Amino acid sequence: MAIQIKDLRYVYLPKTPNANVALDGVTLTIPDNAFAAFIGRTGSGKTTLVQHLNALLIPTSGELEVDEFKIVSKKRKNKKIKELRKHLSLVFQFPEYQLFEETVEKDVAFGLKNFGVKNDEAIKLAHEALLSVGLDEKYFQKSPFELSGGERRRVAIAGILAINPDILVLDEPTAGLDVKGAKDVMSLVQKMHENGKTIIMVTHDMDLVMKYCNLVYVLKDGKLAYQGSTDKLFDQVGEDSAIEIPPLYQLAQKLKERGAPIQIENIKSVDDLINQVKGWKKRHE
Amino acid sequence: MNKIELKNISFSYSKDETEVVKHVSFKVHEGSYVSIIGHNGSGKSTLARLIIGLLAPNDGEIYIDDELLTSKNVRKLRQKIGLVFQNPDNQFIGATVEDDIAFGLENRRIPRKDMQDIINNYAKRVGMEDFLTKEPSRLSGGQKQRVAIAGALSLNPEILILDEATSMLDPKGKSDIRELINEMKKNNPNLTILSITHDVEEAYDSDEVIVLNKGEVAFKGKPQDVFSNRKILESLSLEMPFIMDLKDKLANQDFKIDKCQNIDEIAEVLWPSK
Ligand SMILES: Nc1ncnc2c1ncn2[C@@H]1O[C@H](COP(=O)(O)OP(=O)(O)OP(=O)(O)O)[C@@H](O)[C@H]1O
Ligand SMILES: Nc1ncnc2c1ncn2[C@@H]1O[C@H](COP(=O)(O)OP(=O)(O)OP(=O)(O)O)[C@@H](O)[C@H]1O
Ligand SMILES: [Mg+2]
Ligand SMILES: [Mg+2]
Repeated sequence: MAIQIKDLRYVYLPKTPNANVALDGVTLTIPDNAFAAFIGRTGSGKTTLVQHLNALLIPTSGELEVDEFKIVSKKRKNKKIKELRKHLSLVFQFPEYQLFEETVEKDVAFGLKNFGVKNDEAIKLAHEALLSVGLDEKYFQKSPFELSGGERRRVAIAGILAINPDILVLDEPTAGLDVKGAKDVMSLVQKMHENGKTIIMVTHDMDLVMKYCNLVYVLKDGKLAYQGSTDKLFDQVGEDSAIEIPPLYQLAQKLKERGAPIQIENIKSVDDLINQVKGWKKRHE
Repeated sequence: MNKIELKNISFSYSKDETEVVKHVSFKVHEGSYVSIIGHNGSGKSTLARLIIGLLAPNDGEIYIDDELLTSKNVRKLRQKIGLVFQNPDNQFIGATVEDDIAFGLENRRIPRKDMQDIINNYAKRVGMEDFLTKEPSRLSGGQKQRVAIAGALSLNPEILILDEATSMLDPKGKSDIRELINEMKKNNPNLTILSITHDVEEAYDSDEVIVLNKGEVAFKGKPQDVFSNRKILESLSLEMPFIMDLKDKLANQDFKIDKCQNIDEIAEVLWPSK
């Protein structure tokens, strides 16, 4: 198991009138080399949960294990935080909170240098990571604050890709990316998954969930409402308003209900569906 | 009538930098719903900032209700516009959600006695009525976007500019906001909407689509026309909306799906009942 969460509870602003129980008794495990999605409605606790994975937030009660690292509710007992963050890296929901250096290049290199990579090597790796997310030399010396929203997210993602952690956590990685950018980032992430990494992604994009993820965790009001494999998700529709089935799968489902010989598990794109229905024309005639 | 008109607008963030908006011209009719799409860095948010006069163009003219936007009338013309920023954190001023919405209303000289009702009403309509006393910076991403939307709608603007305003909402949240805006539009058919988005499904629903590419208008027209050419879409880093893509590919397999409007009708053609 890459990750085990036991009875995790988190309260924002405890002991104040604005105290807010954001996570309430969440227990779950995420196996090695999973491609897991966290979904759930606005404010259900997704960001709060993933921020515990690299000890950015410390549990109010309960505990987490991330491979050999343990995160407990007592601040001073959490050791090796730096090693943990090299092992598991997180891309923030708002890239603005992650960027602070004066140039894009330095920003991406920062994490690497922090983990002991020499400056020249760090800059070289930073350039590679930036190019992989579609940002060329023109951007290297710009300030991260003089970028468009989508460009900023690309820089934030490059910063984590450069670290090359064993577990990659992405909080709404495709929000604000253009169509091509989203595709490029997802295929980079998928490649990392194929190379044995564990991927954890928070997203509202159900197409991405269906296409890339094998496990889904649904949060609702700070509690775990569902966990299971992606193919079983259909049975949960109606149970939870956070789950919306993309039109492609709605169509496949309708065909199945009509008795058509369709294998939904093999559908990841419109082309996959077309491949299956191709021969049907002749049958009708 | 033209609600907004841009004539040959060019802009660069500093004198020595290349222009990020180049010779952009378009008209937005009163009461229409126009989407602006285009790759990251194509100049969409910059255009929004030019239209509300936060930035001034190097070249060209902007008209709101046929009045030329200048430094003299910018405050007056801005009163007609409600803008939801791409990053909601850049929008919040108040210490609480309630104060934040109130601040916008004060700016528009809404009488204090009417304010509380307006605030309660819009907070409720975006599902944030239980968060009025919370700090905007301490909300989840989607909650921030809901508050930002409530703030802009509460001003009852003539022009609503949405800069990726629902990018972090869950599917149900997105459709709730769409319904809310449709309802506002029903009450005020003159409401003009300019919506910046990467979501081709969302753009497909608008009256007109403007595609920006490297600061220039690459394409402009009805969604059906803009999204019909795969080659062009690819060159602009875009894709076809699902239903168009599906119908196009099924037609290539000789299925008669021309008249189908939705997936139920398509299912009936693919596997007829009985
Ligand atoms: N810094 C904070 N201080 C106090 N409360 C917070 C803070 N951040 C989030 N919350 C609250 O905790 C709850 C969970 O928020 P969280 O950000 O984890 O939600 P989320 O599932 O990521 O939502 P979204 O999809 O909108 O990003 C929400 O009710 C939110 O208002
Ligand atoms: N404050 C700034 N200073 C200098 N350059 C900027 C600034 N803001 C944006 N730019 C640059 O101007 C160009 C247009 O940016 P803009 O934010 O308008 O793009 P956009 O189309 O909204 O992109 P996105 O889809 O990523 O939000 C980009 O190349 C960006 O790097
Ligand atoms: Mg979140
Ligand atoms: Mg933008």
